[in-house]
Amino acid sequence: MSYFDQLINGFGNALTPSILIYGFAGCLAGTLVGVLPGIGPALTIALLLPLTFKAPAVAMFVLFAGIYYGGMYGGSTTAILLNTPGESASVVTALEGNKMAKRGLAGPALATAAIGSFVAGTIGTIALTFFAPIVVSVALTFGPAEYFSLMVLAAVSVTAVLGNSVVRGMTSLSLGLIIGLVGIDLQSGQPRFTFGGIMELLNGVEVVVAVVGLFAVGDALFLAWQGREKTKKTVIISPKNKWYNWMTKEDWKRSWKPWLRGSFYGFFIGALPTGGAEVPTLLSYYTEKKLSKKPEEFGKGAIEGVAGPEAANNAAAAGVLMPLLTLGIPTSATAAVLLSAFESYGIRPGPTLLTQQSTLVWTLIASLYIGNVILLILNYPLVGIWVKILKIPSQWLYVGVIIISSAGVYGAGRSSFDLALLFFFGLIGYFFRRFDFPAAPLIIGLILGPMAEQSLRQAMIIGMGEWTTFITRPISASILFIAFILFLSPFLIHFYSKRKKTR
Amino acid sequence: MNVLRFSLALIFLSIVAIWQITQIPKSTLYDAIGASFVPKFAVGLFVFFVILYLYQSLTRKLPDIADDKNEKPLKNPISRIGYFSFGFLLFVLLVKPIGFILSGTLCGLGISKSFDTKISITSVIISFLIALSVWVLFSVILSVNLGPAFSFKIL
Repeated sequence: MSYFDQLINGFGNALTPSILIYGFAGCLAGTLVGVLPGIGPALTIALLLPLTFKAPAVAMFVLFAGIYYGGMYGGSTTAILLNTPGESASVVTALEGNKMAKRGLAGPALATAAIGSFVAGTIGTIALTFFAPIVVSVALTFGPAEYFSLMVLAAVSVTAVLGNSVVRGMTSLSLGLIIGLVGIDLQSGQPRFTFGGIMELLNGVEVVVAVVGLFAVGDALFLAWQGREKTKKTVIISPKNKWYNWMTKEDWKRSWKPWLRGSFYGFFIGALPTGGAEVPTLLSYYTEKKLSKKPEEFGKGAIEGVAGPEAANNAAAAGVLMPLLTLGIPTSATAAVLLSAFESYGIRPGPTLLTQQSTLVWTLIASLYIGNVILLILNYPLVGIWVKILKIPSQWLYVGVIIISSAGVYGAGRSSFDLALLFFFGLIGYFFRRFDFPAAPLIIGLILGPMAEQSLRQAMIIGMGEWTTFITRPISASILFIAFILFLSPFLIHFYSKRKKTR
Repeated sequence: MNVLRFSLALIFLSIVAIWQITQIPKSTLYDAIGASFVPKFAVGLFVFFVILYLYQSLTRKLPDIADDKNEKPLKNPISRIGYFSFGFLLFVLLVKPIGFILSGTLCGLGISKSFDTKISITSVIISFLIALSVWVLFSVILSVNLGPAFSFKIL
C-alpha cells in the first residue's frame, strides 16, 4: 500500500466519531493551556500520561497531538492581548502583537495569528507527510554508531542553540544525563546513583515527575518567591469588532507572504536535530523586518511581525515531530514527553514505526490536518472566552496548577516518594529560572541519556570494543563532526565578535 | 542564595555524584565498556561545567533575577517560599493518612498564602473546592487512582 493510500486510511480512522472527540478535546485543552501562562503542552501531556493505561494508543496520540498544536495556537492569544506569552515560542509574537492591540488592532493581530497558524500548521503537516518516508528510508541504513552520533548531535545542538550560555546549558544537559542514568542498569543489573539501593530509585526517575516538577512546581515557586503576581495589573485588550471583520484587504496582502516564509523556516528548522520553535520565530521576525515595505512600523505594531513568527511557531510543531517519528529522537521538551508516551504503550519510535505502526502514524498525521481546522474554528470566534479565563486570580490559578500536577504524578503510582521528588525538581526549576539555566536540555538529557548509552554499548560490541567505529563509518563521522562544530560555534562567534570590537 | 552560593551548591552536588560513581559495583558479565563508563562520563561533564560556572561566578557578573530591579522579589521572599514548601510537604506527608482532598486543601492554603492571600474561610472553601474538583476529574471521570477522597488512618 502506498503512503498516499495509508494517509487516506488515516483520514478514515481520524474521522470516526470517537477519535474526532479525542482530537477536539485535545485541541480545546491545548488552546486552554496555551492561553494560561506557565502551563505548556509538555506539562499537560505529562499530566495526562497516567491515562495511557486506560485508552487505546491511537486515541491518546490524537489527543496529545491536539494538545501540542492547540498549545502553539493558544500561546499567541495571551501574547497579543496580555503581553504575556503562554509559551516561549510566542515571545516574538508579543513584540508586535501587543503593540497592535494597544493601537486598537487586536482583531487583525489575532486573526493573522490564527489564520497564519492554520496555513503553517497545514503546510508543516503536508511537509511531514512527504518528507517523513524519505527520512525513514535514509534512517533504515543507520546502525547503533550512527544513532549514538545523532543523539550526541541532538543533545549538543539543543544545548548550544537554546539559552544564553553554553556553560549553563551544558550543566543542565549533564545533570539530565546523570538523572537519566539513575536506577538499575538493564544490561548488567548494577544499581547506579541509588544511594545504597533506595527502592523507589531502582526503577529510575520518571520523565513525568521531572517535567512537571521543573515546569509547574518550579514556575509556581519562582512566582511565589518574586511575590509580584498580586501587584501585576492584568491589562487585557479585548478586540471590539466582530470576528468576521478583523482583517482588511491590506492586512491579507501584508500577511500571506510572511505566512509562507514563516512556514518554511518553522518546518525545516524544527525538523533539524536542533529542533524547537524559538530559533525559527526569531529568524522569521528579522526577515520580515528586513523585507517589509513599512519597516518603521516594527516596534510599534507591524502585522508582518505577528504573521511570520506565528506561522514559524506552528510549522515548527510539525517539524519537531519529524525526528521524533522517523528517528525516535526528541528535540524539544514536548517531544521528549511524547516519546515517553510512546514507550508507555511499548512502542519505540524510529524508522520502523511507519511500517510496524502505520495505522497509528498515519491516523496521527491525518488528525493533525483535522486538528488545524478545529483550531481555526476554536480560536477565531472564541477569543472572548479565552480572555475571560485569563481573569482567574493568579493565586488560585497556581493552587489549581500545583494540585493538578500533584494528582498527575501521584495518580501514576500512588507514591509519596514521587511527590517528594516532584518538589525536589520544583526546587531545581526555581533555581534554574532564577539563575537563567535552560530547563529543556535537562529533559532532553534525561531522555536521551539512557538511549545514547544503549546505542553506544551496542556499537562498541559490534565494533569489537574499538572506539574508532564512530569515525570510520562515514555517516557517523560526519554527524559527530557537525556536532563538534555546533558545540564550538558559540565560543567561536564570541571570540570573533570580541576580536572585531577590539580592532 | 546568590550566584556564588548556588555554584557552591552545584559543587556539593558534584561531590555527591562522584561518591555515587564509586558505589557502582563491578559486573562479572562481559561488556565492552561496562556499567560505569557512561555515568563516569556524565559526572565528568557535569563537574567540568560546574567548575566553569564557579569560575565565571568569581570572575564576572552572572545573571540572577534578584539583581534585576524590575524583576527582583518584593519583601519576605523566604517566608513565601516557606509557606509554599510547608503546604507542599504537608501534602506529601498527609496524602495517604488523610486522603487526597483534605491534604490537597492544606496544600492549597499554603500555596495561596505564599501568593500573599490571607487564610480565611473563603480561602479554605476555595482550596477545598479546587482539591475536590481535581479529585472528581481524575478519580471519578478519568479513572486515575488517587486513593480515597477522605481517609482517617491518622487517628
